[in-house]
Amino acid sequence: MSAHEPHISAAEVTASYKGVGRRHVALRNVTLEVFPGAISALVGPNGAGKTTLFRVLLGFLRPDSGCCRVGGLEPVEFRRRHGVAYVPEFPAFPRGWACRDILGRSVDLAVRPHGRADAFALALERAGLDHRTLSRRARRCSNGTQRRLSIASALIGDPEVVLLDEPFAGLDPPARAALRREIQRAREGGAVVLVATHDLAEVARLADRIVAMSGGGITDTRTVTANDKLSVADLETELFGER
Amino acid sequence: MTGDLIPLHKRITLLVRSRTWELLGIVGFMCFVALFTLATNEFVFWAFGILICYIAVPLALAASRQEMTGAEAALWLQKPVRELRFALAGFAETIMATVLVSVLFGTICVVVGMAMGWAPERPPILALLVGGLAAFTIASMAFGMAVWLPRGSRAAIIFLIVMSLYLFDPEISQPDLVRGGPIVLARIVLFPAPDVVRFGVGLTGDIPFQIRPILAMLAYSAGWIAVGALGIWHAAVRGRIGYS
Repeated sequence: MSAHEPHISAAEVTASYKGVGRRHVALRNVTLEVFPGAISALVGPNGAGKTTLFRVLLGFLRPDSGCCRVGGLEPVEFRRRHGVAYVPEFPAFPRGWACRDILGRSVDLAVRPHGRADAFALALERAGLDHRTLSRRARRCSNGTQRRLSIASALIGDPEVVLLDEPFAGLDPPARAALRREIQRAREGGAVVLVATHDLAEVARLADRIVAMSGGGITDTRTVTANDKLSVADLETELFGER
Repeated sequence: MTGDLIPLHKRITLLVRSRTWELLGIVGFMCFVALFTLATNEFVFWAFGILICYIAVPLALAASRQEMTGAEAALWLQKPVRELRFALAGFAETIMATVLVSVLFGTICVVVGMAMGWAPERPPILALLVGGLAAFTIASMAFGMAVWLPRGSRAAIIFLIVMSLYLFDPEISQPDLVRGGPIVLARIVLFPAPDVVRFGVGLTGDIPFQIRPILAMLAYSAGWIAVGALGIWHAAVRGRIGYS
């Protein structure tokens, strides 16, 4: 993977969902290139198409038209071969499974047998959950704990593509700081990181590139340089035209 | 796979644990049947209760669409796995859990029944064999149905079983309803209750034992497994994975 070639490319991608009586178009002619070793923030109002774009990149949703490639492959084929870290906005866990079981199963699926013990230890560290919480059933844990579990589970195996949908929602300040470190570590490792968030303070802190979405399309893209000092108020004005 | 942190036996335990309330419901039902049997001293109710539980156990343990292709599945399918292989492995685990729970449940029911004074005419182990194969068939139906139906798959299976008993039972058979084409269609779609009965009666020696009912049940199960596999493939190809 070269830093000069896009790891993710989408050209004129349109995607829709089947609704009652008609199809709901959630993405309209989206063209996007994302390079490795960078953090791209997707910002936009609810219903802008951020989550749908993630589903397309995961190969969970097939676009109606346009071309999408991840690592030079169809998104579904890339996911099947390499895996993609995905933290959904609302994580769903199986009934009856404890947090420890979920991390263990994720390690089994993502890592070869000889590396599983180390990967499991790293996942426990990333989750940052105490012994008692690890033994609790995931569905009974707080929203913040579920999100930490979802993030730790997604990052197992250090995937090349990391898709985070509202990852900061419900996290306390120490967990936010830990997540920020993980995101930066993934970037330094050469991963492609896409973060969909409404949290402009985190965007200002983390993003190398900001992609603004609205009504299913991309309305603006901006590369953030080291000299840029972004404030939340400026971002709000720039991206949404309001203060 | 060797070296799994969550090995097969643990996954089966987790599957059974995730269905605690459904299984407790079945136990509660059998307690009620036991009281009714003791009150009436009619052990036909007890045998009938066991039969119902053999239908209920695979339905309780079967995976829902949410678990196979829905939001819960997205937790696992983001890893480098193939959807169909993953779903079929999950189905195999469900079958193992179903057989284990069914045999355990049947054994407990027989022991409790005998303690209450039940004297079955035939060796109960034969009923366990028939029940095990019937449970496998119902689990296969649940796999095929659940992939396609977001909800109501269990009700649909119960409907197919009840309709089968209604149409094919010699004492209450409805020959007018199932002549010609409809009988062929009914044989394909409905639960193979006549084959279950023939297999059971063949085991007890009342009629010569035949391999055909077993093959018919296995073919019926294979059909539903194929329907389920087609559903998983369709969800993956059409891009319908990870929806709540």
